Amino acid sequence: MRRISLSWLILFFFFSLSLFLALSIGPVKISLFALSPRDQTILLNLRLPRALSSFFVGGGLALSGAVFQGLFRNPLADSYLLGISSGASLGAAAALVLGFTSPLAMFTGVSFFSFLGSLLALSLVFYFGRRDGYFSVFRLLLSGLGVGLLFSSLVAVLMIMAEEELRALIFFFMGGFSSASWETTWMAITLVPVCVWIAFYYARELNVLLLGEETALSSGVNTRRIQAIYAILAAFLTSISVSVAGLIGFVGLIIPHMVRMVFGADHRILLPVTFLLGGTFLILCDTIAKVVLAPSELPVGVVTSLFGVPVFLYLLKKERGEYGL
Amino acid sequence: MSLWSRISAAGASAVISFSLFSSGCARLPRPEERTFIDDLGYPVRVRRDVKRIVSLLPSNSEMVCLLDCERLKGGTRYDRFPEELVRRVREKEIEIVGGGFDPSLEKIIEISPDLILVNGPSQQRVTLPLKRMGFPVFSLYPQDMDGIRRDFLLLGEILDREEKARRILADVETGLGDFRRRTRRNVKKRVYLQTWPDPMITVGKNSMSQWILDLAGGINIFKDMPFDSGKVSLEWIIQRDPEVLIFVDSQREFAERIRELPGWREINGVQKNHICFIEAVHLRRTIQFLDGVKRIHQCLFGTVS
Repeated sequence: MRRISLSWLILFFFFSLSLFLALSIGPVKISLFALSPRDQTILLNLRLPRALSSFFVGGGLALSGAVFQGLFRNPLADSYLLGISSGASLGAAAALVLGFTSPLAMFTGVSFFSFLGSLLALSLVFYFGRRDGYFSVFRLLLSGLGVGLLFSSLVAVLMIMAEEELRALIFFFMGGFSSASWETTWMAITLVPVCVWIAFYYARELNVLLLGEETALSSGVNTRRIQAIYAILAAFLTSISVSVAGLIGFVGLIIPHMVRMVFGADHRILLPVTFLLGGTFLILCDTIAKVVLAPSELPVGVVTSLFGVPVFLYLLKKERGEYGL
Repeated sequence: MSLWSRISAAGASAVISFSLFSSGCARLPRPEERTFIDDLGYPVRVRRDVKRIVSLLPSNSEMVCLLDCERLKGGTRYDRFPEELVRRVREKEIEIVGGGFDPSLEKIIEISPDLILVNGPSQQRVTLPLKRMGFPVFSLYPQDMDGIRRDFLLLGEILDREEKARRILADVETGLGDFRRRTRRNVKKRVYLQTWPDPMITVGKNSMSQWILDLAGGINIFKDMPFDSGKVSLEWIIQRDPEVLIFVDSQREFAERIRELPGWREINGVQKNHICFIEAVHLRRTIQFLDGVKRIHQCLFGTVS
């Protein structure tokens, strides 16, 4: 217990440090303690929404990865497992190449249609993954694979039609927060915490599910309901993240494994720690993306891979357990 | 002979046979042919009277058309210049063979070109089968303005239009000289040129746009960016504080909104409302760059030169 409390303290320390760095580091030199009106604008309207976007998107992706890994009992599962990324890419490609604009003023075209595309993919996956009124996780996997492939082909068709939009589409595929503002951040700030709370609420049931469906049923857990809630929740979290920041790889795969290696597989601990660490990790990666090729920005998805994967591989080499999967 | 030696001998003879078959180039050029070295360093034998050209790059199509558009028989779906090319495409005198990376090889074979103009290494996947079929594939791959000039003259020589190529270049140089004389007293202005709004993409070092901006009397605020173009954040634009903001024409809606967006109001050019628009075609890689230079100059200094 003392070890867990200490770990939480360390996590909060790193979260605060990463937030401080994200707010302090940038092209314009500002002192957080003596702000001119211009500095205030930069801090409150550019750096703060950007840091919060990174945190909620990173946390959301990591959490959805942890849920999918637990739900499908598959260590290779990540946030984009159910074809969500293909749906979001199709929406973004349609907005960019066909020039669709958002009907709602608070969304950009890419943001709105990538969200719509991911929801469309999600609906199709759950429609085809359902049988006799129930969801089977393996049917969901296969239906996700099918829908993902179908949407990817449509994205390829749009890419062939693209001219200068192609470059913007490539940046969408690699994710980033360079255009973050309150207008793009509000969705992450309002919706992600709700999803996170629901995920924490059913964590005990998810633990029981890991013991196998029969054991879970005999323990009084409504397995079908819990599976459906978590699958929809994780996919929805991914949709929000993609809509805010484009496609950011590896966070949903690496972070849950890292947390399992250190904290074990109890989802009551695993889910909150994964959320906090995922958010912290993406804030740090985005800060690196801001400065490493200055004045140009590196797509944050590149940084998550470059910095996250070596750490992950190191932990993998060191760890001998099976992380409860 | 050991098994290994036999395998080695068989392998070597296969490689030699394949090379001879694939190149077919042991013979000397025929009298009706000339050999030119392309931008990738390959010697290419080209007929003296080239009549049917397929171009797989818009800038190459434009150069051919400036010299002798009648000989261009195939182009890409992205070809837009000059006017004559567009007309010829409309009248089906030029066949669209696809894009630079996805041309229809069947259409190219049907056109039966005696010269195929391609880009650089990125089109190798397409050019290799064409070379193997015996088509003369010539790479024009200029890296800068000097390269464009050099390639234009080389193309003039290949098409037997050297005189015309020199004349066009001389006209451009004269126009540029006149422009420089008339504008030499202008104090250069710091410019932010945005080619895409979300994410914000701008131009960097060595890009054609950077070169055009410089000639027009601007200083690209991101000229230290070591790429042709790259993603930047609003904070970097605030830090560099441009006096003028230029957006590619399709971003009018975005540019209208920026005055209301936090952060943009901190920028000198936004405060003074010094915002202009330019069509993307004026920033293209072309020998006819002077139009773009003049338009940007007009935006920076409000006068037509």
